[in-house]
Amino acid sequence: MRRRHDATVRRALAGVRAPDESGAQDRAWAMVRAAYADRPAPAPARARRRIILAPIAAVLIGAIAFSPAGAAVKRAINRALSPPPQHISRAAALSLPAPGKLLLSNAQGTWVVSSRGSVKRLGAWTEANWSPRGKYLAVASPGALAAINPRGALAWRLSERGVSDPRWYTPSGYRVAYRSGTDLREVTGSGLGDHLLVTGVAAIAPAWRPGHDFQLAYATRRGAVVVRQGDTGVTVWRSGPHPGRPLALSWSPTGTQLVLVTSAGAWLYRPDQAPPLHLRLPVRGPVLDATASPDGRWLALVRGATAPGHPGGATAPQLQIADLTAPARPARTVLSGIQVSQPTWAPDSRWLLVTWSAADQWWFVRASGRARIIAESRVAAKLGPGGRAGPLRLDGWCCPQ
Amino acid sequence: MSPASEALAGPVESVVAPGRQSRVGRARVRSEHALIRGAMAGSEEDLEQLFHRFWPRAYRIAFLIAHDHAAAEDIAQEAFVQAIRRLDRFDRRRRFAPWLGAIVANRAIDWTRARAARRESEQELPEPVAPPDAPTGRYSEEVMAALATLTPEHRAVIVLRFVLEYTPGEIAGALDLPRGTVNSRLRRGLDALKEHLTEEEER
Repeated sequence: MRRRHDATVRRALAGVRAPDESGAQDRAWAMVRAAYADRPAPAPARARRRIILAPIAAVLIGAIAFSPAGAAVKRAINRALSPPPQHISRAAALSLPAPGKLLLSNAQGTWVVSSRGSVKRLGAWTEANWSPRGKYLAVASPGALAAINPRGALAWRLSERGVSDPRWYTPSGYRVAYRSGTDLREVTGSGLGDHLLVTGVAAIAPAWRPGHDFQLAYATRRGAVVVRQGDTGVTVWRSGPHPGRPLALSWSPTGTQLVLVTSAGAWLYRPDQAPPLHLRLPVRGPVLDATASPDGRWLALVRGATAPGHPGGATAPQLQIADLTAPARPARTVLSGIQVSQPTWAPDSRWLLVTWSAADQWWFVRASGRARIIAESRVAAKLGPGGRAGPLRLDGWCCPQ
Repeated sequence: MSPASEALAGPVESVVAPGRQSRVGRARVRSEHALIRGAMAGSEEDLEQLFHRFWPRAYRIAFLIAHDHAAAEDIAQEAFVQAIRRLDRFDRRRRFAPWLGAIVANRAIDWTRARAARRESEQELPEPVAPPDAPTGRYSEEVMAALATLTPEHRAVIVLRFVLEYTPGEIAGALDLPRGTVNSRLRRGLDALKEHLTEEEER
């Protein structure tokens, strides 16, 4: 009787097929292959040590395992000698491997995801940016710029067409710069004094200079970088033009070093140095996306695939990380073969999030320490209503506390 | 191949996506140990065969324990990635299937516990998330409903016993439990499942 019931359960369980097994398998294989390509080198010394210790351990285990009290010790030793891979428990539907809160938007709204996994929709905004300490957000919609608190309550609102790339001044949050079409504008953190700063800017976010009152860097449509005093409009510094389409502009945390990335390469400047340092990093195009880490040490670069006729030969799409403290050193490749986008750094600069839009996945890549990759799948579905309305845009990962 | 390896490994033909069919299909069937050796030596083709052999059941185990297909995908994927990263430390005298199965089961239990804890502690949690895709296959809805009546710990024991064909001793090792606890969870889990499945069959 019991055997018949056991067979029923066995048959029943054997008949279960999880949803979308083949799609899940395809996505998983891409990630496993990437992890395999990036796996750490074997550690022969450890293997030798294990061989030497094995007879001793066997005697000890045998001695204690046969006593009742030794059972727990036996399990502990078994675990220690053959540890399963370290794992991260997913506490929630969408979770982050590092502290902080992640902002994301699509055509239907803006969401904030906490490191513990809660997901909150903040309203029908299409873009957002954290204030320096995460107490407010500058948000944009096709016809307005506004400031809201993290619960979604409106602090102020300006009617303006074509608003994009709002950025708070760091560290005080007393100014917000934003683009309106090809114009660059500035408003105070309380929503007053909105004014035009300059016209004809490139379609990338401006970058406030930390520690220098209201100095703002932006790229022109001709590929030059300009640093301007936001309140007075006085030009502080200007570079020559750069080849390629501007993609990203960022300052080091002290405001001494400025990095520009275009589709053709990356350049590092120290405008205050005499003469100003101007260095082309060993990065070759095509670059599709880039972001510097909050601590200013790393530059994440997404490179597109190149055809066999390319000067550098045929290459697969790559995610690379360049060390800005050693600018002459070539960037290291952390993912290859997958066309990821939107590199976004954790506030601790240790984890890098990239999106794989074609598979609706996020990949978290640990940039320092032991290599590690964590994937988050079916992201749009996990956001709930509105999550599937168009591509998701990562708007920033803020504030450890 | 051992029973547990056979159980975790699905038939190769059934798990290979169309684009990869020719490559894997042409390859001769190699032993698990040969594939691991090859993967450790740097053969991506061996790794691919190993992956396709063991992935489907890993995903199913995670799904049967976690009852959330998106989480199951994450759990199985991460388990595989971690396993691959530690291949050089894998003791080749052991079987790959139980090793991977134990990782997946433990992750799935942790995930399910964490989800339950979060539901208790967070008031504003938006109920989520992934739409409940219906599993396919004979008995699937009944089985999932019956499994849902068990705790994740009981589910894991049942899944390891009846999907992976682990012995109670192997389950005890994999889940770090005393053998007696495994036996009692098996019995209780089976009783609950039988009751539920019998009711369903009688309807």
